Amino acid sequence: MLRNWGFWLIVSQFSLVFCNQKGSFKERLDFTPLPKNNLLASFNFEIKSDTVNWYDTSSTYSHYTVFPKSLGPILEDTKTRELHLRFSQGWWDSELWGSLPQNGSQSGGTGVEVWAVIEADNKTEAEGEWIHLVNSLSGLFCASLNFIDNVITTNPVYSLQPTSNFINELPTEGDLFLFRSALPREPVCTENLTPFLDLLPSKGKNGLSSLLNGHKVYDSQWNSMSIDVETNCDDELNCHYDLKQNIHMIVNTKRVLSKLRDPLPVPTPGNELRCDRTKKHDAYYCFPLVDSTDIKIDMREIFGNIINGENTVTTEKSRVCAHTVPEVWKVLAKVNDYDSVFAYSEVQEPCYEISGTDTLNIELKTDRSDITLPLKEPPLVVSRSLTGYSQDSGGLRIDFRNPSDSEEVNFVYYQSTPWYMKTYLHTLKMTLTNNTSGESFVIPITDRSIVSYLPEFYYEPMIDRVRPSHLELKLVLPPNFSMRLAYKFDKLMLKYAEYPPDANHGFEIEPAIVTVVDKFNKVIYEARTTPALLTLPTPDFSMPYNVIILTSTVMALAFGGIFNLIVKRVVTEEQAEYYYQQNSPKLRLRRLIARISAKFQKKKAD
Amino acid sequence: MSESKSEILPPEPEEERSLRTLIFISVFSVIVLLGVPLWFLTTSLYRAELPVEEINNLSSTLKSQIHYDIPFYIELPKPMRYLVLETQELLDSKLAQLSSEHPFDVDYHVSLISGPKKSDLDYQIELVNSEDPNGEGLFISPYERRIVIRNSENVVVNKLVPDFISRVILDEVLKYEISVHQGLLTTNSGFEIPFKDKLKLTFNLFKGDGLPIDWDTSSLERYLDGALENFRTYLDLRVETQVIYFASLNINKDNLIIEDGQYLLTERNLSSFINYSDWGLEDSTTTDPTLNFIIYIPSEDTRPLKVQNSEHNSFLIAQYGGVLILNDIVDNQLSETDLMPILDIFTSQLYKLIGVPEHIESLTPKSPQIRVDIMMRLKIIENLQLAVDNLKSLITLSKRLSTINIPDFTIEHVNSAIENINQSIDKLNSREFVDSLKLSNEAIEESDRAFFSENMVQQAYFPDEHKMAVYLPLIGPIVMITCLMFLRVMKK
Repeated sequence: MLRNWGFWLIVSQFSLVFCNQKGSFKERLDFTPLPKNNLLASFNFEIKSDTVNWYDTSSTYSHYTVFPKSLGPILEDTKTRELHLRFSQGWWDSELWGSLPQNGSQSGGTGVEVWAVIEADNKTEAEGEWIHLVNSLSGLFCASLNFIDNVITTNPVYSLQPTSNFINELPTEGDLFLFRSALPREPVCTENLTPFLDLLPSKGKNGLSSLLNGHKVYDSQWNSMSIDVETNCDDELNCHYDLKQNIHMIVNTKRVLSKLRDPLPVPTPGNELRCDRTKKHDAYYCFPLVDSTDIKIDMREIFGNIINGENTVTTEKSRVCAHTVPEVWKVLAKVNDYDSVFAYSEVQEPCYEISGTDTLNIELKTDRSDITLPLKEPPLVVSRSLTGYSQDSGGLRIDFRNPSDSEEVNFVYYQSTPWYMKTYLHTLKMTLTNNTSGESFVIPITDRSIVSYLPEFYYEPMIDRVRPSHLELKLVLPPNFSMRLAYKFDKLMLKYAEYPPDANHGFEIEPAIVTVVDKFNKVIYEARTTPALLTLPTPDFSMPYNVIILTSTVMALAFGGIFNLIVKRVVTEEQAEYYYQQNSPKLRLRRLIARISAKFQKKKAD
Repeated sequence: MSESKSEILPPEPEEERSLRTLIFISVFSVIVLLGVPLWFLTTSLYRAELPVEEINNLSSTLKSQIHYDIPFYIELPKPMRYLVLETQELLDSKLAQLSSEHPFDVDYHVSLISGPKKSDLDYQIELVNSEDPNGEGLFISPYERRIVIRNSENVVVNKLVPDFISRVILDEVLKYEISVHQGLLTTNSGFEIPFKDKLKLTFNLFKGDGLPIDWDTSSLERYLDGALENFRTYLDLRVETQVIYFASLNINKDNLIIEDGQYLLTERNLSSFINYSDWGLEDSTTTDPTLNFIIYIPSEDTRPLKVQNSEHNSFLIAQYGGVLILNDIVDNQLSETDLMPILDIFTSQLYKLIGVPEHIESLTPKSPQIRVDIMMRLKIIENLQLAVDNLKSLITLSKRLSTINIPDFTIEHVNSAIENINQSIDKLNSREFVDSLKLSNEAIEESDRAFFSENMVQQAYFPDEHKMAVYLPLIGPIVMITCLMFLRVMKK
């Protein structure tokens, strides 16, 4: 080896030029106090991978420095160019909390949702890779993603469009296919957070990730965990993966504090009750007031942990930022329990950079927690519900409201419903209501005038046990108007083995996605509806056994009767009577005794 | 009395009695001929028929079907061509001699062919004359398949050239292979991974703490390009590297022995050294074998960490990989000079883990290339044997468990495994070793797929004992009634 030293030196200098760009890692945490003593905590981790080169088949090397090796080979094997995963729990109350963090681009609907862009030569191949991908991810994230198959997968047309820049930059060898599927029934819990932390180079040991603790994250009012991988290329067509991992959670500070005080819920003792003094109050009467606005809370209370020193792997210093009204909120950074204020009136966006190996605790303090930054109103409010009560049919109703008085809203409504909901799109009716006057008018889908509100739509009807119904509507909602869409569907029968465990619980229908776009068709807001719970006719599962046993018994009885009838001799009653007399058990016994005694007498005689 | 009885209950007329018997017989035959088969047919499991005969046949004749020879090419001037024939005769007789001492398991030959070699995978012998009368010698190139035999005056004069060549081939180059065929040696060292023609190597840089480190992956690439060259003909290799921080020791610091200010890893500690769950070594994408090589840099509080009785501070984990503990790093950086000695150790571990025989004087040649060739040829036969054994186990399983179903695609896999085995034997017999190895691997994969197909072992809808319980209300009364009637008819 040493012989070639000079040569290697030359090569290594050359290779520095073409060399891999090494990956990078940065992280950030944001606190935003919200009304009613709620607090939004947003964790943001960004990882950039080393340069990847899929098309160079001669290269047998791949290097992972900060990008997780557990994820990289999966993406490469399945030719996944973009991957998005969402694990969410709870319901976002937009009246109380305003619009979703990051305009909803990082929040999912209840359960698990996954979509990916896969490069392949044809659709069949891409479908195979998609199944391979979700199976691999299932093991990695401890989620039932392996239950995803073509029956619950759609290819969105207007929604969830890829965002990676490589699609424009790099001429791809194959075609790109977008797949999306959701598991609304999946319970999101601690076992999904551990793999999330394992993807980070700091493994939750230092930096901001040391705050994340499964018990606290999943005890929040609402939480959403997202993993997004994009492929981006620079001008020289050196491509890399950009991995963004986010956790957003809403914590009710009062609830957290009371839970810390009493792990088991107990009624508030009489002397701690806050009663309305203007009304009658004594030992028996109390009209309770809203929670006090006095708050003092720190990270140890919210997350159960404090920051365990700076993140040594990151390329930039980790930052903790607070978005508050500085006049009333005081944000303290406690390094090794020594206080220092970092958010005060003069600082516009107060942030704290973590450095050193000392522990760091952040404390939020105010006596007017009702004063928070003004809420950003979502551009569109949506809710979806099931209608009807029969076992064989039902309806779906979706309500949209445009809160703005001046701007019309352009948006895409995406919905995928399982095959056992047989939708009748011709029954779709649109009702538009003026929010102030209450005037409303109905447009059925068959009416041409619907085009001004529904300029375009995509519908792929379901096929039994093959694919779901896939509906995407491009809608326009004028200012100060509400829109209601309603259509009917039939509930189909399932086969015995197709029922999930606990079938009487009902079937979760995955959340629908609403994507608000501006006039350049750029996504400005994204939201999901709640899942719907559909009841299907559910049999008694011991039925097949009962049927077999009952029919068997009936058949055996019938056979016995008929068989005896045709093979036995028919006699008159007198004959039978006589025969019975001759052969009655009593007589037979007597005869037997007589025969035996006769034998004995014979012996004696001998 | 008998007179009055016959008056009231006259004996049954003969035709009535025979009619009744006829009815019984027809009902009975409907039940037996139609009911029972129908019941069996509708409640039985599907069992496709396995080619039992063919597999048994293959298993008994596998070794006798193999007869391969290893070609050595020798270029000689025309007047010396007679040497080829003479040497060939000598080789044959020597092999026959060896075979009579310890019989070979397969038909094994060595052929000497005059002319230049046909492909890179063939062996070339070169004869060189030495000036020195006693200067005979041998040089086996470590970089290509070339053997240089230096003849001296003595050898030539005593007409010992054929003897010399044959001794070189049989005793220096192929001794190991021959010994294995004779059953004197086994290839199994216990270290090697199950063989597959796809192999993934991961080189991991593990840090006990979170201080960033940089390593020169491009020099690693260059080193491995050379080191793995010998395997590329046979194996599809993929290399992945990763850096993992906070890879905490699996062993409690207090349980480590401290000696001369060093933390000592004893042999007992080594088995639990790797933290399989936390270190991100598992790979969920492939079922292909993976070898893991780990450079472990302990955190400050457990430094220096030493492996007991190890010169290079490293150890090997059978069928898994190798570990090297590095205590001294400068500037949080691993440069080319730091990496080279480490990679040398990993390469030697890699050879052991793949199962390449070690270089032992007068058993295996020093050339790694030839040792890899020998191992791959032996692997072909091992693979074929394994594939056949898999198929035999499948037959045993299907015979023993009568309640599992055998779907059609199991048969498809079995058939394609058999086909691969036969083709692999053909290729081996016609000296196409690389193709033969590929096919023998496919044979294993197909036989595995046949054996481990999940549809075979899935729970049947009704297990056999449940079937009886469920249908008893039907079968019980019917059997009772017909049996009683049967007895009555027989009595009459």
